[in-house]
Amino acid sequence: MRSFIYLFVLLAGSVPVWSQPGTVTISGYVREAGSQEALIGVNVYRPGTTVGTTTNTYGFFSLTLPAQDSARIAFSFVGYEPVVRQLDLRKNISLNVLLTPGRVLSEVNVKADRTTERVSESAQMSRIDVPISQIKKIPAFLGEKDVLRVLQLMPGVQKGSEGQTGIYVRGGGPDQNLIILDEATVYNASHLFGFFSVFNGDALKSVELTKGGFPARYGGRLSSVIELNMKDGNKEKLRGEGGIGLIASRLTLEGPFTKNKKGSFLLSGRRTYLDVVAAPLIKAQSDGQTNAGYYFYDFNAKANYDFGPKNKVYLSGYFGRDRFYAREQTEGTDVGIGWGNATGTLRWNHLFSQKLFSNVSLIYSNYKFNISSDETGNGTGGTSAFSTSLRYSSGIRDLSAKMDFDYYPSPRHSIRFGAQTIAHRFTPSALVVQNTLIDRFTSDVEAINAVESGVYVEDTWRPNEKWRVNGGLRLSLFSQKAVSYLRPEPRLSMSYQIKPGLAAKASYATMNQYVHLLSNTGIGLPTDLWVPTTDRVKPQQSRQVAVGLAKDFSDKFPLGSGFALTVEGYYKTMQNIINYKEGASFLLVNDPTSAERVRWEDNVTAGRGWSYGAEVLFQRKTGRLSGWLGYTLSWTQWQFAELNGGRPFFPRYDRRHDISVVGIYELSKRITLSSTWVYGTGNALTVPVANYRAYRHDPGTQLASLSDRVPRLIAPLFDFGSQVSDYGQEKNSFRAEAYHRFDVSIQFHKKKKRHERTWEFSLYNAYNRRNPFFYQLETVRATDSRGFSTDRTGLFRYSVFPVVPSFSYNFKF
Amino acid sequence: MKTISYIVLLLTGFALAGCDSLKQEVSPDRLAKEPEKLVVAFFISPQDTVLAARVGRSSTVLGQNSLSFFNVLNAVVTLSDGSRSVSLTNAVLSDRGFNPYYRATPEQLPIVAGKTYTLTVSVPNGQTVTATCTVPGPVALDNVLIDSTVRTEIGLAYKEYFARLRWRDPAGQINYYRAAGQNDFSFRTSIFTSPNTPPRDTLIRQPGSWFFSNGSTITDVGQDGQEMVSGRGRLAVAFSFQNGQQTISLPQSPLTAHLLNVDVNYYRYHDEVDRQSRAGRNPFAEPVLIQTNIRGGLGCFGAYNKSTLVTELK
Repeated sequence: MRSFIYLFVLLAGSVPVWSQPGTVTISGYVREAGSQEALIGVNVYRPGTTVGTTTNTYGFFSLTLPAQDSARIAFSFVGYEPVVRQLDLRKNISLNVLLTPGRVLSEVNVKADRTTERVSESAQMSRIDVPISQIKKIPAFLGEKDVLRVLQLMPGVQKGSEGQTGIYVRGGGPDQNLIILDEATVYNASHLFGFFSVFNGDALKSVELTKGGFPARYGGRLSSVIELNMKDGNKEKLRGEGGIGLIASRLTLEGPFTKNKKGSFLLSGRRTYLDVVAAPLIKAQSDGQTNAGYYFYDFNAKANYDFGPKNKVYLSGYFGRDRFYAREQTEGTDVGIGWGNATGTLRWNHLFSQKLFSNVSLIYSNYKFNISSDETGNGTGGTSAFSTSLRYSSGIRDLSAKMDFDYYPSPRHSIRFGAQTIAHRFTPSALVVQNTLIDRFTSDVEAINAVESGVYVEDTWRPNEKWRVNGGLRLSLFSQKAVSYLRPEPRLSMSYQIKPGLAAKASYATMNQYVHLLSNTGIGLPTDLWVPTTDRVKPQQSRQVAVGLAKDFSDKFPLGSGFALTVEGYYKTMQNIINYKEGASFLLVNDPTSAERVRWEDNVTAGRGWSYGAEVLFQRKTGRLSGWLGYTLSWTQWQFAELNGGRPFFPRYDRRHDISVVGIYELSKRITLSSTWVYGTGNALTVPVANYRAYRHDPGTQLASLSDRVPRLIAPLFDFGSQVSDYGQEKNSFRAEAYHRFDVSIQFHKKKKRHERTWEFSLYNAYNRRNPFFYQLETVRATDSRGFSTDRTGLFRYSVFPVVPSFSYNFKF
Repeated sequence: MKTISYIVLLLTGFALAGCDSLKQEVSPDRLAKEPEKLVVAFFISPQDTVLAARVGRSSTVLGQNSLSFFNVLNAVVTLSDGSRSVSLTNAVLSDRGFNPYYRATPEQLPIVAGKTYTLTVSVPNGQTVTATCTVPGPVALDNVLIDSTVRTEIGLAYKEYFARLRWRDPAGQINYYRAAGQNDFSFRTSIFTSPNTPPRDTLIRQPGSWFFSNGSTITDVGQDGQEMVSGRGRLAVAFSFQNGQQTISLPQSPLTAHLLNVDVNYYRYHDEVDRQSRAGRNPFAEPVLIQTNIRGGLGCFGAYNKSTLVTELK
């Protein structure tokens, strides 16, 4: 913290150096017309030059230019009509700009020279953002629009198993993604065992994924940062939107809460109703004795208040819960499994000057998983009354404080610096059993406290028209009991403009990760356990270099305007990544009924991994036909001393080819068509190829005193042998069949008097491909013509989803 | 609205199309074809009074199931120390045919610490596998720690006895160990003691091996040259139910503990077979690959040097 203060003093002291006479500063906020929603990433620039900046997460911008009589300043953002202002640049200007959402159908409107943030003009590479409006048009499983699933359609980002929202970025696991919702870390982003993500698209304003060339302001995970921002809430009038789908319904309300329109709120909720629909059926089946079901819900809330031009306060929160329950009356059992995240963020924006913007955040995040089991016997039939209750829980809780500064000394420099400290509290497992026969029994693995901190500074520097550089350094510090780690993380991204619209880029980033996820299922089970770095488990570290080309096609491009192409190659190494040891599983580590408590550290093993590949993205964010084409060619290998005999192997999600095609077509004002097609090489799995009987040495038998009266089979020196499987020479040498799927959807929009409604019909897996979920060897009995039956073992593929049709009704008012 | 009803009709059709099975057998071509392999288990030691090897055959996973795992009875098993060699003969008849093994005596080829031995197994169809291993030196077992705990399970409390082995690891080398032990225990049960008499309550005294729940294999990684203590092994006892009461016998003296200083082949094989067996069919467990030092085959040719300590239970 002290070094951070020094840094701040240093920077604050240097302010006068850059505040040269003869310059003026234009600063302010860019918002959406009609809702006053702050817009993130709006381009603010002088047309015809490369002088410009973009708005930050709160819609703020600051641009310092040489003083002059007048200049044109343009504001443009994808999906909005651009605004050009003629400004008198003789004194500093405070300016608030409103952008009107554009009509995508009338392409003539979009003729300003830069409508979107052009990929060839930013130093940043390996970043993906998808407009929320586009996410809402892409076909979704059971009509539930899911941001994480849309990100899976991007090159360099892969899904795990069928239907899962787990994200694998450039050879990294789902634990290596930093998922932040309004600055709060979300530890388990899955509902329903990973089939849905916890993010409700209606409450979100933006989503952005960075997979390489990380700016120094991010840290704590190896492979990606997924930053989600909730909408602030409409400041003008009360608005709402919602939907009724096959499995869930949702409703979002937003509006001003003060008459002066300085404060606004947003409330958004979603709940599944499978349990409500199924409850009468289950009850009827069991003569009213059983009541079982599953549901999840989530709730987003946000409020903000504008205390004037210099101060703004935001309070936002998320609460989500999954619950499975089963009650059986005759047997007196009551079992429940629940899990969920809760996050809260309080933020204060303060403007020290037109050039120095600050934000202070206090953040809370909690993930909890619990099992409850109650059993009661009423003592009928001669047995005595008894009751047993079991409570098991595990989780992680964070309290965090964060300070960020954005400093815009000149158009050539945008400096960000700040610090964050997180107090983690890990509860690997806590078990309480109460019983009428035995007494209360508690078995707690002691909660572990740890502190993770980071200090960073980064500068986006434009030395001349051609070069853009984002250089930075992050210092990360982690301490838990006696161990502490202090690690520098240098970051560098740069781009060189070869000619207008074409840039070459390169980046380097070192990342450290101090929290680990124990999970070997590859699907988002709630039992996945977050654990800290300890004296025995070292922090994970990655180094990544990426190079690429970014091309923005001109308006003369035959397919239309707004097309962009990026081609990137990367090489990434990962140290101290962890995996379960062979034979270990979460059942062993987490089993609440296990008599012998097993330390999780005894069941994990550390190793290294490397991944390299190439990614191509051809994208168009707006227009009558929008969407993208993505292709990834990649290799990922792991090497662990204790796995596969120490030889390198392909991890489960190594994927040679990954293709995605996403198309959205506005057929007319009333009809939107969309489809996606994905293809991915099959997972690398370990499947037995042979069985044999393995005899172990029995050191005892020879010396045993033998009793003649008990007939026993004695195998001298050997035990009785166990049937074991031979998995072949190498781990994961079996390749599952390739995954491919086609989804299609059609939306009918209609503007009614007071509201707008959309009917959506979609087909998931339209050509009914049987994609593998897992494989199993099974024995089947066959009887031949003579009546002899023989057993035969075959390899069976299990799929989860055939073609799944769905429809939903959505409305907006 | 008409369009919408057509679409609903179409979707229903698709839903019906998706109703066939989600489980399908796939062509076995995707699986690596493994020919049947010879499976050998052979552990040699300077302390043993017999040289015994088991030879079997693996069966491919897919296809017709064989009813039993083949024991190979017609192999030629040869052990050599570089200068001398011995052929192990088929000992199938000596063990009532149940557990056929190949045997020779150490007098025919002494097993000496530090020496490297080569095993060759061949069968008439031409399949031949070989393996080598080096016999480790002795490591003395210093003492055995005995303790007991009272354990409660399903409302019943009972006492369990445990043993831990303690020894000093030789510095400057990687060592692998296995802990083992056994004790006698006795229990009373009714058995037929002769053909024409009714069953009689008889006291039976029987040996049993110690059970190391966390695996009995240990390495000195991170503890080189230090004093080492094994995981705890549960002493053998008998559980019996008589008149609805559970009775548990006490372990009886002598307690015989063995510390085996084993070679890496022995260690890996036992560790991996243990872990694979314990993981069972848990689909979520990380699969355990069993490495082999049998070139062209499966199984293990390992060596150990045994140190034994007999203690009395007070």
